[in-house]
Amino acid sequence: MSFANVLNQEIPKKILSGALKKDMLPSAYLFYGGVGTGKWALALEVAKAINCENLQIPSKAGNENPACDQCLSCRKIEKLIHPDVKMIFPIPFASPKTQAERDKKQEAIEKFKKDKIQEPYTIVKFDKNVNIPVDEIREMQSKLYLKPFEGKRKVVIITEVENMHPSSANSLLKTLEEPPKDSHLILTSTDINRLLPTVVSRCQQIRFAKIPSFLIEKRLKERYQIPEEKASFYAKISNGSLGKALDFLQGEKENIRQDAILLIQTSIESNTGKIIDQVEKLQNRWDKNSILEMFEFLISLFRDVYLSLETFKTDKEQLLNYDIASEVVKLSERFKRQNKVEEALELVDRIRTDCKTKNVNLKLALLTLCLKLRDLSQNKPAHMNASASVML
Amino acid sequence: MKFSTPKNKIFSAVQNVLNVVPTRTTLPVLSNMLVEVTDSKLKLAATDLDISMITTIPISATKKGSITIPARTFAEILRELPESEIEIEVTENRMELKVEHGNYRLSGIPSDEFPKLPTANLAKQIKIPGGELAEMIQKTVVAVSTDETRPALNGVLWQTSGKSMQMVATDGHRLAKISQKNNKLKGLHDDIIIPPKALNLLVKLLADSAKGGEEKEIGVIFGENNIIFNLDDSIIASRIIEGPYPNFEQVIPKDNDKKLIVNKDLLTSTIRRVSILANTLTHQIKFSFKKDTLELSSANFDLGGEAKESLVCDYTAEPMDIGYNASYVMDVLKQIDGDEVIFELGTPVSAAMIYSSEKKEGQECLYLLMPLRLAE
Repeated sequence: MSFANVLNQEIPKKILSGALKKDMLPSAYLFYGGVGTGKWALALEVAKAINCENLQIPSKAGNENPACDQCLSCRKIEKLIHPDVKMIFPIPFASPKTQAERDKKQEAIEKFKKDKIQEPYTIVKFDKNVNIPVDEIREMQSKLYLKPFEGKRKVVIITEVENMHPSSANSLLKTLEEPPKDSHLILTSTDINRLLPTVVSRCQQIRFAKIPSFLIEKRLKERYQIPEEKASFYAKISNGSLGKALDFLQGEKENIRQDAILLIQTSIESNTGKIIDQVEKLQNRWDKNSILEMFEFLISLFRDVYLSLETFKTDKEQLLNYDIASEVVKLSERFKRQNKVEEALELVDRIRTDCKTKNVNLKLALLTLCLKLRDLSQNKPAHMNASASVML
Repeated sequence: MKFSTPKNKIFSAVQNVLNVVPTRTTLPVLSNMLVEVTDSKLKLAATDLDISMITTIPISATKKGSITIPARTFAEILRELPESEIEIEVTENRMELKVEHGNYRLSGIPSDEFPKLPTANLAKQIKIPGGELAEMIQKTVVAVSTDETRPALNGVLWQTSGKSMQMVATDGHRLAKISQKNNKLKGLHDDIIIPPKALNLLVKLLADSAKGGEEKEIGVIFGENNIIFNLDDSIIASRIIEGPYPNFEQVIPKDNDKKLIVNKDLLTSTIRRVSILANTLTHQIKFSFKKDTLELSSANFDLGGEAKESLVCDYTAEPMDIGYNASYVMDVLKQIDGDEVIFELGTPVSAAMIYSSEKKEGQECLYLLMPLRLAE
């Protein structure tokens, strides 16, 4: 892999290759943007370029491939075994107390690395709450003050920094502000708003845009031999995230989507008893990660509804969920007034965020969501403090 | 790769290298040992990314090659094998040990996944007597800081300036400094900060080899990113800490005019007794300096305990009271040679200089200790 294999992201590449060319890489970068847009992949490429034994200085800024991919250093970084390139990522059992938990932590670390080596765009999911361990940050800091072991410079990649506990973030501040010589930190985040402003202001920020769906489609066809029709559908529904598109290739993402559609149909068409039945069924069938994905699908669905109400168009170019255009039309009839769609969108987003960041009873959250959506579709006011009632 | 060797020869080398194999690691390959065969030489190496150790032994090899294999398992097998000739062969990432009554097979990881070990540039090597080096390390390493917010202090500063070298360590409360004349430095001028872990390992190995009797000289190479100690059959390399080291010279007082001379063993045993009733957190002991008498006292309000003892000393300046952390004083006294120890004092709130009354040829050793503020 070199810069060329990171899909799109022309602007970040331009900035980075410019900095590499002038050898003026800042000590801390913050890559932010949607999940699965290539932040990790490009961070790894930067680490390679920094340490590459035969770095090809780009002749002009743009889409070049600075790292050679051939030398030992590049190969080690790609296998995530380079002693001077340290990865820190959120994992379950971040601070293990028993031996069993320690083993599980180790397992999680190995799973993450394995998945990321195979495909840097993979979204690695764990079925437990994840966290960036403070110990890892401390250990990283003590190692950062040593001279490099075999590489030219030390690189630390910290992914999903929004999952960092404020105390670890605070201990990171000093390193970000006064980094040791010859060291670079690359932070990646999907939600820059959840970061401490003190962390954000100490990094050079690079925004990662959504990947155009035709590029995702192309990658799926070329690298994974996905048939045209499916590839185009996955690319579209993933809304600019290669990571999400890859998720469709394995697992039950399509089933989750079907259930999400079923959920919304039930909510607006059935009585309370049936809604409760449906929620219970879903809750038994899916784990937390899947339910969070379900919320994502609902959001994309409401996006389509909103757009179709605004533009009166329901074609493939316009909709993410173009395969169920009739469903979108049906929903837009239900939510005829735009402000209701807006409310519904806000509601889903709010409950999703609560489920993601707080300790919420999922079943109650789903139930509240369904009942409120029903109220909205019947033109009754839905109170926005809905999510407050499901907090435990 | 194929070679054969007597068991005890390879086993002692393996045990040596095992010293640095980490117990838990994020890089799986680090729990492995690098085994490399070049022309009639067997190289065994391990690293925890802080310290690397490489041991070389002569063998009769029939085929060159290299591999990494689980270090502890390999050592365990060798330990249990009876004394005899072992034939070792590696094919496709698997190592096979052929012994008299059977064979053992072990899977490994290709050697190019192993971290690149530092190489010793023998041209830049300087020679230092092992005993001298061990002494310098032992006398300074006690004062190394463990405070992670000031990384430069987490190691021993080793300065060489042409014809002499000095080691310094401090944690802000105390400072240890020892300098030694050496005319084999080849004019080397360098400053490096070495983590204590490597120094402690080196002292341990030096002590082991000194048991054999005669004193050895060891080679030292100041590298850009590491320091290498060359002990004939093995090499220890340690990563060094990014500097710069704070300017310690400015904290060494120049105008301490009051001098106390006291018997070291007497002072040590008295402090040990009196400190039993010292505050368990601060370990504070009050030193009351009077004419030819030193009074030590402590108080622990939790226990309702108080202790006071006087001892004879040589002190003629005006009386004063100074508080010290008993365990810091003990640490210093432990490292001081000779029967008598000298305290040079300024004011009750300035640093004391502590050194031995005896001086070794070409050597200068000094400790600095900050007082504790006494409650009025």
